[in-house]
Amino acid sequence: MPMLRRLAGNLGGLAVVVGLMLMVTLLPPDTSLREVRASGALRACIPTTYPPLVTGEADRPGIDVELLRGVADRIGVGLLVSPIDAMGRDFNPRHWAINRGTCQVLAGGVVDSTLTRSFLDTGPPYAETGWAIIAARPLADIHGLTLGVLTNISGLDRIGLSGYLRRESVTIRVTRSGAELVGGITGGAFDGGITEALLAGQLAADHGLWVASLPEALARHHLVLGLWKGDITLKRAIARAFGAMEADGTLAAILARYGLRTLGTETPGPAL
Amino acid sequence: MAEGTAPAPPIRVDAISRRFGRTLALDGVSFEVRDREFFALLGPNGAGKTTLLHILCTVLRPDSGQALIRGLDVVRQPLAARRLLGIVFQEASLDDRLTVRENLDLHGLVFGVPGALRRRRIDEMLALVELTAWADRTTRTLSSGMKRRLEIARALIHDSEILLLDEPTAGLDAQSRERIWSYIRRLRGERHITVLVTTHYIEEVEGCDRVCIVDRGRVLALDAPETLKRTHGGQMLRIVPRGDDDRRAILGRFADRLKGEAGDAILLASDDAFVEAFLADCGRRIRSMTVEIPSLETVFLTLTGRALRDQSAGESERTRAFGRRGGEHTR
Amino acid sequence: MTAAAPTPSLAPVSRRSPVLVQLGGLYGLWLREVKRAVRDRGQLVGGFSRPILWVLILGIGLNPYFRGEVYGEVTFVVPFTYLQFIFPAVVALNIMYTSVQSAISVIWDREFGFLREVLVSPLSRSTVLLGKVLGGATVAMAHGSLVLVLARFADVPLTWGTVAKALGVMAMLALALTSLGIVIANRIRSFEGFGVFSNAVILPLYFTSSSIFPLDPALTRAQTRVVYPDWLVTLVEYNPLTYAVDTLRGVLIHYNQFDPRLGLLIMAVAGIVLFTIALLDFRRA
Repeated sequence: MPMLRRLAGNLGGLAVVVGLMLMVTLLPPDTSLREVRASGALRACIPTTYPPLVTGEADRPGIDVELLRGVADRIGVGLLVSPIDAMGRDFNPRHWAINRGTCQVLAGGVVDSTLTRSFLDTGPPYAETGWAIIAARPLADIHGLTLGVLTNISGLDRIGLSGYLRRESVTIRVTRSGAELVGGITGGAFDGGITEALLAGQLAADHGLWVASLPEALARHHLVLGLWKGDITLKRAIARAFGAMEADGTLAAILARYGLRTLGTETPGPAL
Repeated sequence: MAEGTAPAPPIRVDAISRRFGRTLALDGVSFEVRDREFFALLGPNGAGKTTLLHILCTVLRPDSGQALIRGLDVVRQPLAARRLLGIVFQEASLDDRLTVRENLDLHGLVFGVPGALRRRRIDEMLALVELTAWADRTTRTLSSGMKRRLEIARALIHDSEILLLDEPTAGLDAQSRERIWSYIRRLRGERHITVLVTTHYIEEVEGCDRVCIVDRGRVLALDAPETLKRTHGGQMLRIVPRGDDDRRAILGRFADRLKGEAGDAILLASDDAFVEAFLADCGRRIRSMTVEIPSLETVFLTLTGRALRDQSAGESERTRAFGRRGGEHTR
Repeated sequence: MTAAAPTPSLAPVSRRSPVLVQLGGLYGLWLREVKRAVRDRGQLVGGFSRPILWVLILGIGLNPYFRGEVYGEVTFVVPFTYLQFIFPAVVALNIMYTSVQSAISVIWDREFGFLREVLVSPLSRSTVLLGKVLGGATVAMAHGSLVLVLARFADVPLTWGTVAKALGVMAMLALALTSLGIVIANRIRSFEGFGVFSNAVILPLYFTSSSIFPLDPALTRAQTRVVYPDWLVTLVEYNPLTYAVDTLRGVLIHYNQFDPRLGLLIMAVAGIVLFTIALLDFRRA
């Protein structure tokens, strides 16, 4: 064994250094999780309504709310939801006036895009979304039509969408809520409406409309929970909670309740 | 080299000159070292020995002249020449962070000695220089004598048939010096090898086959020590006069026999008859008198007109070098 | 043992092919560099403390100032936390220190004789230099990889694929920087210690490589020059390390400020040019 001993002598210093570094990685890099535990509640900002992510109904509160509840349970704290009215009305997040004091987590339509990441960090992805179109009857082509557009989910690529619509010579009518969009379609003011895919699916189901996703050229994104940048310990706790929910089937059950399937198992819907 | 193929001599130096700035370090030096010879280059510091050695081991180019290692020109075929040379430099050239064995192993790798042979030779050479017990010690923990022994062992790991040693015993205590010579003697008995050594310790070259005396870049004499003593040596009287008057009187009277002056002493060429005559004549003018029998020291004195210069400067130079090396630990 | 019959092991080495000799020597020299580095406690301490200080102390210390406070308000334009942003640069920093440090040992080799031992061996000068460069680069890569151990802490997710790609980029960077170090070392006659290097070469290169502050790619050139003074932008743009750090950042956190191929190209060209210069110096020495 002299060779082993020599090897140990040579690499001993290196091993000590690597060991010390691994120990360092166990240190908590910030105080975010400690704050949550200290206050006993996970505070989340969500829009007042954003079906199917946030519904506002007590027995069927929406995917994001149920997920947040699951996360809070697994961290061992309560959930404190603050509905922010502005989140549903205005697509500029600055006007939502949400700050670190208001809540630790943002939910209800946060997508994992470069734009979002400039402001926020994100939890694990749990569903995919993109732009979708709804109409009273199936459309083969949107060229030259008049379409209502609802873009209050801030992370999706609005510039790409407007470029696409302009190339298709679509007349754009901006709407401020789902009700306004559906009203326009059923009232005949719009030939169809474009909005975020999950919302589109929900609206189509509720009002018996046709729905299809827009072409692949418009990037699709993952839905996530939003976190403040730099809250690594909280982020890790959320990731752990998601892992546990995925393992015990809670995640799939929540998604199934709203007609969705877990990532990677979805069946592609109709596309334009 | 197999016997009978009339091999080129191990070392041939032909009219080599080398100048450093205004100093002519080597001035047309020529000699030939014979196969299996123990050859010594004797000269004071600054005589050009190290310059010559650097030319032989291909790190320095001569300004003119030619040096051949087994017929290989050191300027035109340095890589081939280096394979035959085992070199021990005056300054240590070991990696002090590696262990004794690792230093030898690295040398073997660098000289392309195959693995199994390399390991066997390392063991043999460590045994030869009595460092087996130190094989796994880091080189920086060795004494300077041990380092020198290690360097000798290293020079023998590959197929070196010509060993060049530059002042191998400089800066070592008497015991270490004796050890190093005994290794070299033993080695010559075991291996087909030619040894060229430079030194300024005159007593160390007595056991050599031939001695080449160099000074100021020129060869003054080249022969076996005994022959040198016979031709250039001679008995000498070392006299310390009583006073200045006595000194003047002696100098005046024996000007033709004057060999040199060393401090208080006067050196006179002598023989048995002269000693008697001198005592009868000037017996009262001297404080002390020594009869010096022929030795390489007297040979050197005869040839150069002075004793080997500043022997102690070598020591202090090494000390300075060592001090500089001490800076290494601050890196 | 009679004088005429040498012991079997003293029989001549069967002549190895010259290529094998060079390769064996290359391996020996490489191994030497690695062994020296592993035994150099000082270097290990540096390799450990730099990432700890930069990632742990600086990254954590500044994190609150770069995190979002109000949704939609931008204080730090990059879509990452500060810790994630500087992480790849700290990898580059560790590589830089170690590469230059290894290269500087050429000075010690020269001062204390080891170089002479190699120069009288049958190895060609290019083999000797290549051994030094490869050894130094290996050690530098190892020190760079030490930083990767902290990835979890900095919240940089690593997959095997990412690590493999990162190692490739790190190898190129380490080779180029070691060659640079040797070019510098060859030109230095008296050595005043490593501090000079660290202050005169490494830190200036590092700080002007967009390693600790971003040049926002979303901004145009004109806009960038509004945010930062002209001279600083110019320094950053002319610093080749900027592009190397950028490429590494692209691999580790998928964020590029420039074309990632530019970084690869610059590292390859710089590596080849610097190695050639070092070789010419070496041949002359």
